[in-house]
This record gives sequence, structure tokens and C-alpha cells, in this order.
Amino acid sequence: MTPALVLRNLVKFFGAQSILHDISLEAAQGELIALVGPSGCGKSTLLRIIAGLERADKGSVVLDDVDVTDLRAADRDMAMVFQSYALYPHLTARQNIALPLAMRRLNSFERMPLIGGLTPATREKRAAIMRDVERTANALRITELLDRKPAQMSGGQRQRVALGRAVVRRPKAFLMDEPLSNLDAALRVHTRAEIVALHREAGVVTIYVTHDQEEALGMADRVAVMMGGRILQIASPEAIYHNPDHIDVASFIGSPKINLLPGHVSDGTVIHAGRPLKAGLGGSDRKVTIGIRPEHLHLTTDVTQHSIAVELNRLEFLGSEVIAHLTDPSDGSGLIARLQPGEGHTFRDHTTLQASASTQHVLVFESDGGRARADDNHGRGMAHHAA
Amino acid sequence: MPRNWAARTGMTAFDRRERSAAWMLCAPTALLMLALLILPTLAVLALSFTDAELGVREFAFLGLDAYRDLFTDRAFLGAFRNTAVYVALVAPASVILGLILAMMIEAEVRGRAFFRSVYFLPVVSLTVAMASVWQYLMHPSFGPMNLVLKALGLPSVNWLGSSDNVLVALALIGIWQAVGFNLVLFLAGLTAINRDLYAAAEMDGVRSAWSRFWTVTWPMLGPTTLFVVTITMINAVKVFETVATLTQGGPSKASEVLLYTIYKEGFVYLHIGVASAMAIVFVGVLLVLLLIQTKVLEKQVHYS
Repeated sequence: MTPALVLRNLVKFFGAQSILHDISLEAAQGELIALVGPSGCGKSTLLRIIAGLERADKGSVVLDDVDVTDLRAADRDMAMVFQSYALYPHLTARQNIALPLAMRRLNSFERMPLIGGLTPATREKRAAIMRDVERTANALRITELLDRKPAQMSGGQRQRVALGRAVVRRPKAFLMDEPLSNLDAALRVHTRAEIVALHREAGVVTIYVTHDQEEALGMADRVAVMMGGRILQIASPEAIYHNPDHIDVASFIGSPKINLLPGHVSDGTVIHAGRPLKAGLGGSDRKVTIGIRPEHLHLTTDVTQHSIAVELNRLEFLGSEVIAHLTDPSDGSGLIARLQPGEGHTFRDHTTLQASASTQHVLVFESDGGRARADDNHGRGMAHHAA
Repeated sequence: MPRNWAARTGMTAFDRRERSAAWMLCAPTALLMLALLILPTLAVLALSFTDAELGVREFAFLGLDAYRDLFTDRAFLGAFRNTAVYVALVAPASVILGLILAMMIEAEVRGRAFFRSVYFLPVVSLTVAMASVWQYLMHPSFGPMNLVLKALGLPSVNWLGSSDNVLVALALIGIWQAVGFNLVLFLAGLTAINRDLYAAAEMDGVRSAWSRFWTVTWPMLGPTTLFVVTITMINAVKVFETVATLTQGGPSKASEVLLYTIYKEGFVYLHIGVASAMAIVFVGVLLVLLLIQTKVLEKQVHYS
């Protein structure tokens, strides 16, 4: 199957400042791709270039096998949902949702308020638009809001109307620019599921921009992590989380953040504080950074060959999990371990514990940030916690 | 129980202290408003029902007859009509011109501050001083405006000297004065429009600049436009300096406007009673304009 949306080598400068460096991406029909990254990483600019609201300095955008690079946004047949909702405040919800249909189905004469509705053909077109608006409103359960103006609605209601305006004309792609950022936390989780449902129902490409890694992991078929104008990695949420290609991806994705420890490779073995944590790495002896996710850090009181000594500062009971705040005495840096609720109640604050992780959960990054992958067939797991 | 005690007396000591403090804080402003605004207005209202003249000891109470006389006075009706014509020329032209110029300046990033200052200059310049410049510009024989007309092969116009077009000439000066002010207000209104709305309109298929204007710009400028329209009309109704310096109401009363007529009745002919009645009508016109702004139109243009 040919991809529905293709971005080829997009480059963007603002003045002398480079915003996007050579962005390429292929999205399949019906795929939801999340562009996630810290603010200023270029994700919104990329979305606006896909939309046609901004021009790339180099590269092309191809939608359904048509090169749309030189088409303006109005001619690309994509719909966009904005963080600010961008509803027309002087129009009712009904008029807001009807506007994209009126713009495409009626000519400028037919759009005129009074004389436009004189001929039966135009009246029929207008009635069809109103039927489509009603159908969309039904699907989004906003029928009772149709005669209200945006000022008379809550943030969540406005966002539903904005979604309605996007889906009503069945575009070839949905572009969403942080659509949930202005909603409160409970509503955000609820609306996430609804956007995914709308996306599946429409069956077209959705590009979803967010700075919230949880939103990206929870909604997307594939997540593209952007930093400094580059896509560092694009992969399924599981792969992004468990198998990051870059140290910046590992530390941006995941909450609490991944633990990063200094280490070095000696004879193919990764060593931290004198303890071997992972073997089977190729290459010369060098300094590396070791990443271990909090839930993979296992705490015991028994010393093993592969465990590192840590000091427990405090246990934080959070109901479904327990967070252990630790200090690594080798350099005084803080570590975090995530325990099951039953675990750890025998540990006392300010005592020394042993932390370990199974080999496949020890991620090693080179000094340039790239991932150093071990040949795991040769790896020696930690005796007590080999998965 | 302190609560019951408070309920019985209706007011605690704290409430009383707070109330007297509030009165004391309001007092300076309230007294000044009373002395300088409310009492004089009431005095003018009282005088408007009389035939008082400055220097004449006794005067008669005419009551509503004073107003009946006023509305049958051809000079006053002429001034009323001239003012209306002047407002009808200045307000729409300066509002539309201000909007067009504001959109042109807004569209161009470079030189925005420069053009804004240039167009705002007439607002801060002294009208009385500028009047002599206009007198020169509009001079029938050597004024540059007529020289331009002559160069274009058009007949020259006696701008300020002919009763047929003296109001148009004054309106031109009025427009020149008002455009800069309106432009700055419209610029502020344009800057306040959420850029996302233009992006949304583009995504929705709004292609031409014309439909973009009617879909986003014009509705979003509603509150600004209402303010600009009323403030321009009020300022136009108050036209005085150009008339006083350039035409003195002439030729043959063709440029007599309300404020100039009031001034002449009151300070030249010393007909205090008549001038007061005219002033009351004048204030009434301004109040109606203000009322239109605050009540009738506000509902339609504010979105919250």
C-alpha cells in the first residue's frame, strides 16, 4: 500500500536560524502519528508546513500521491484543530461547523445571506450542508450546543465544536496542534479516547502534535520524537519506550524519568561504580551513559556481583505504586526506583540497599547520545533477576 | 453572640468604619464633579428656559417656549443641518479610510511605526496652527489643491469661499484630522485578532482576501469599529476650531455649526438663555450617540 502522507527532506529556516533539518516521514492510510517533543523543537512548524500554512525552504509534501508542496492550505483538503480552538466567536456552533462546507460547496454568490437562498438548487445545497452539520453534531453529541456561540460554551465543548468543524467535510488528513492542552486533566484523558475513535472512524492520516509524552504514547500508532528540528526516532509507542535509539528520546519519554548513570566500557562490559552491569558491547574501551527505567531498578538487601549500592532517602506511597528516592553514593546523584505497592515496606529510610536491573533493561548510550546495542546472546544477566 | 449582635444593629463597628472611609475616599472626586459638572449643567438647564442676557438684570421665564423658539429659528436649524452634513461626511469617510490604511500598514511589516506616526501627526498637531496651512492649501488662486486640479485639467474650486462646498472643504480637514486617530485604534484592534483564526479560515477553504475580511477581520473588529464610529461622530459633532479660524460660519452662514452658533449666541451676542437652550440640545445629541454605543449596538458586537 502506498503511504497516504509523505514528507521528503523538509528544511525550514527562520532568518538565519534553522528550525527543521531534513525531516522525512511516511504515514500509512489511517495511521495516527504523534509528533512529540519539548517546546521549540519545531513540531508545530512542521505541522504548519504539512498544512500549507507555512512554506518549507526545501523538500516536499505528498498527500495521496499528489505533490501538494506548492498548493496553498485551502487547496490541500486537510483539516486542522488548534490549541486555541480558533472558533469564529461571532458565529454559532452550527455556523462554525457549516463554514468549511459552505466555503467548498457554495460559490460566493450563493453564500450571500439573503439573496443567496433564492434558487431551489441553492436551497437544496444549503439544506444538505445543514444535514451534514446535524450528522456530525450527533456523532460528537453536541446537538444541544449548535445554537450557542463559543463564549457560551466551556473549553471542552468548544474543543468538540472545533473537532466537528474539522471532521464535517471528511478531509484527506487531520492535523492537530496540541488540541487538548487547554483542557483540565480529567477531560483530557476522556477526550483522548474520543479523538482516537474519531480518527479510526474517518480512516485517514492524523498527525497529532503534543508536548505530552503520555498523550503521544497513549494515542498514537507511531510516535515521532522531535528535538532541535530533527526526528530522533519514529517507532511504535512500545519501541520508543523500551528500545530508544537516543539518550534524548529515553529521557524525554517516561515519567518518572529514566535514571542516567555514568559508566564506561571495558573489554566489552559496561561498568558503573566498579560493578559490571551488562556485557557483550563491541568497540573500544570508552565512557558511556547507562539508562535504567525506574520500574526496572530492582531493590534488595542482598549484595550480588552485579548490584550497585544505593542509599534510600525516602519511600513515596502513591497507591498503585511506591516510588523510592535513592542516592548513588559513587557520585551523589539521585536515582528513582518504582516498586509494586507491596514491595519495600521492610526498607528503612537512610539505609544502604542494593539496586540491580536485568541485562536487557540496561540501556547504554554513547557520548554522542546514540544507542550502543549489545549482542544479547553473549550477555551475562544478573543472576537473581534475569528475565 | 457577636453574630446576633451584628444582625440586630445591622452594622458592626468595622462596617461603619469601612463605610465612612469609602465616603471620604469618594468625596474629593464627588465634590469636584458636583461643582464643575453637575451644578453648571443644572444651571445651564435652568437658564435655557429663560431669555437671560448677560448684563441685563431682569429676565423672563419662557419655559418650553424657549425650545419652541429654538426649533423655529432658521439660523439654529441651519446650524443643526450643517453639523449633520459635516458628521455624515466625516464619520464614514474617516472610519473607512482609517480601516483601509490600518490594514495596509498591518499587512506590511516594514515601516509600521513610521507610517503610524505619520498618520497620527494630525491628531497631535494644533488645529488652530494647522488652519493657516489649510488656508494656504485651499487658497482659490495660488493654493496647491487648485494647482493640482488645474494640472489635471479640472476647473478650480473656491474651497472655503463658496457656500456650495465650504462644508465639503471643512469635512476634508476633519477627515484628515480623524483618520490618524481611527487608524491607530484599528491597528490596535487588528493586532488583537488571534492569528489562529486566519489559519483556521485558510484551512476551512476561505481563499480570497475579500472573504477573509468578511469571515474574520470585520467580525473580529466589531467592538473596535463601534468604538471608532461613536468617538468619530462625537468628535465631528464637536467641530469648532476649523470653523472659528477659517470661515467664521460663512460664507452666508453656510458653515455655521452647532458649537460655533452656541459660541456666537453666548459670547458674542451675550444671549445666555438662547445659548443655554442650544447647549442642552447639543448635549442631548451627544448623549443619544453615547447611548447608542453603550446599549443598542454593544449586544451585537461583543462576544462574551
